[in-house]
Amino acid sequence: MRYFNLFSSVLLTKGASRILISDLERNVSELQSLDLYNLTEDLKLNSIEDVIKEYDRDSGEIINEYIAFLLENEYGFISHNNWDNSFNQLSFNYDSSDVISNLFLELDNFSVLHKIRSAMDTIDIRYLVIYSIRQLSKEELGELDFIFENTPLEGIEIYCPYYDQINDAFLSYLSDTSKRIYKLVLYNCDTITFSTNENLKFSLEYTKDYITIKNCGIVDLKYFNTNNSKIFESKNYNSCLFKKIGIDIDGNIKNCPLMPDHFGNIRNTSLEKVLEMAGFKKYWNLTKDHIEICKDCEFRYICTDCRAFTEKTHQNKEGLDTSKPLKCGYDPYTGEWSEWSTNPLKEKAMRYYDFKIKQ
Amino acid sequence: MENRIRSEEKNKLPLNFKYLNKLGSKKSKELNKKICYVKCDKFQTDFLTRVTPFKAFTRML
Amino acid sequence: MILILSANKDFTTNEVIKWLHIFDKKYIRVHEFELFEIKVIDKKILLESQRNSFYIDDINSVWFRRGGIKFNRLQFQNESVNKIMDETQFCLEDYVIKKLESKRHINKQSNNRTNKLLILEKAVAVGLDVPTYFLADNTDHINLGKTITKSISENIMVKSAFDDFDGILYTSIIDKHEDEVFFPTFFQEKIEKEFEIRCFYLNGKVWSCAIFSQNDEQTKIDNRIYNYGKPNRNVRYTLPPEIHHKICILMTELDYNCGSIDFIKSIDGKFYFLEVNPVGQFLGISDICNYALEKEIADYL
Ligand code: SF4
Ligand code: SF4
Repeated sequence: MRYFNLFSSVLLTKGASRILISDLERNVSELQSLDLYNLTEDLKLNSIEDVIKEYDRDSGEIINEYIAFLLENEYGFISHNNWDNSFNQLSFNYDSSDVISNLFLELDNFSVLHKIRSAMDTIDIRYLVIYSIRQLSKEELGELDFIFENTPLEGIEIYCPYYDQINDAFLSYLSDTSKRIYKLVLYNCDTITFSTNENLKFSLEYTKDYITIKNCGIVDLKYFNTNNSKIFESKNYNSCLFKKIGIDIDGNIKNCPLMPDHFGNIRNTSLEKVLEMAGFKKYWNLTKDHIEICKDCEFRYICTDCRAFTEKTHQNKEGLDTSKPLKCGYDPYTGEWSEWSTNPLKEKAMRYYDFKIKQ
Repeated sequence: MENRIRSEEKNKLPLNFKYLNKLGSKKSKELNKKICYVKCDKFQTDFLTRVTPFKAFTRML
Repeated sequence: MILILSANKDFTTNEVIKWLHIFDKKYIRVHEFELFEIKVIDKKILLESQRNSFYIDDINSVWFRRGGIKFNRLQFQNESVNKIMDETQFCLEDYVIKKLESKRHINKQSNNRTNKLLILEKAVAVGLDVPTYFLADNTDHINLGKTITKSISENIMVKSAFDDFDGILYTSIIDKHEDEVFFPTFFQEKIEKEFEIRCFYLNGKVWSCAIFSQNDEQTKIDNRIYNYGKPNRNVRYTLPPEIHHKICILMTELDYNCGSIDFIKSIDGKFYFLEVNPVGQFLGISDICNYALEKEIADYL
């Protein structure tokens, strides 16, 4: 008798109409049918021979094909006489040594950055995401890394409006002098005065669009990268808000700058105090398994959540908003994507957030 | 490509030097160029590796 | 206070240190080029370098990650004075090292050199299966295609061996006979493997990872040749209790309380011991198997 063993680094996430196979070693995911899922469930309880016997002759063929597919992709292996129990299940614990993984800042005045710098004497922040509503001068861009010199801050990413002095010479100067910047996104960028240089130490993106911070919360396949940290995190915590801290344009400290609840202002309180405040972390433990619709979606562990913009249809006992993210156009029950902003069911929530309704 | 070690040395070497492999690849060399270190007093090192985050923290684009 | 003897650039040390902060444990980190002077203040021994200064009495645990503690040894004009002072300084240094090693520790400075040949002998003595091995300076008795060779030195990197690449001495299969005699070389029987096992050992605890590389020609012999396209499968694994037990005896005999250990599980079901490395990298298996070993180390210190 032969037995099928799934490798423990292969995660099958069952959705309402399909499954997602995530390969945590090769960092890729692929969609497959529910039939394949049911087969793998059967193969956990019965030998390959017994499973084939259960089905009629025609399906036997299909089963062999499925098993061949699983073996070809090295999702599993075959053992004889019994399942091979010397291999252990992977633990899905998420253990990270950071206190704050990322601070999302809506920037106007640089004095906030100095405030954050001094907060870093007591709390570690690993990444800083800056959305600037105004152009940042060359001096200001150059100064960013310098402000955080000698701190445990590992990386900075910046979203700012483009202007014509951001050219090749400046970008390579910035790349040479700023060790922490790993991503620079230039928006409002009609004509460009730079080449997309491969040798920069940060990734450079640009867009013609005028990006406002309210654009955040987009759910799109391009954000569905697969890796073990991401999956471990989203199985245990909220995939966007866990260990996140936000500061909005007025200095209000929030879990994310787009959320309504604020916990004091950077001018008169400390990040450290805010972290201890009741309610600040209320969304940290809300996983996709407890969000309506998402809990039936095969993408739930590689899709990053949004609590700032939701469909506003559900609330749990603790008063947490457990509705699906507003800006998701995916329907796990049909397996189809559509443009979220034209979905009539979302109109009410869009009005609430003051979004333009596209006709 | 033959390695140059065996022809340069006049003393005999163990046989495994004949089977010397190249270390790394073009790809790993490229990756190495992008590695950045930051100085960090708190962790008492001048070489805290800047690791790219495993997910997008914001999704504005 | 924890003392960490490491290198400025060591990634693993950084990861462990992040956890020490979470656990609120104080530590002193020593870099590779730091030279210490031994001083005495109020009858207590103080070690001082350009970066650090501490009493050895204040140290509660020590992690010998890389290198170890190094001293600034003074030279003297008069030859016989120099001899006496050399010995005197050696005594003090040795005393300091032994004192540090007597605290809670991970590995020892005085014992950080491995000798692959001696380790194999000890492994046989504790009853582990070891593939047949021998030294030879010719290939007369070598079974081609069934014998491997590898380095007996710990350092296997050869700087600028190729025009634009460094070289590395991986395990290789001997596929042809040599006419000439060569420098004594280590040969070992090649085992047909089901998979390899990489273990991390810390004070009696063992974390293992099975590495399937057989599926891939490129990595069949030495799984360190990393394949970017299709990495091997790595799976959490538990060794049979008797193997675990023998590992503990071996590590105790070798006086290592931490290290990486490699095994092969052969197609006939045996566990063949390959080698121990007390300063091995373990973040790879920690990450893939989600063992959080950096946290374990921080917790132990
Ligand atoms: S909660 Fe939504 S708006 Fe806030 S950071 Fe996350 S995705 Fe963006
Ligand atoms: S937001 Fe959309 S894609 Fe993401 S888990 Fe929910 S339903 Fe699925």
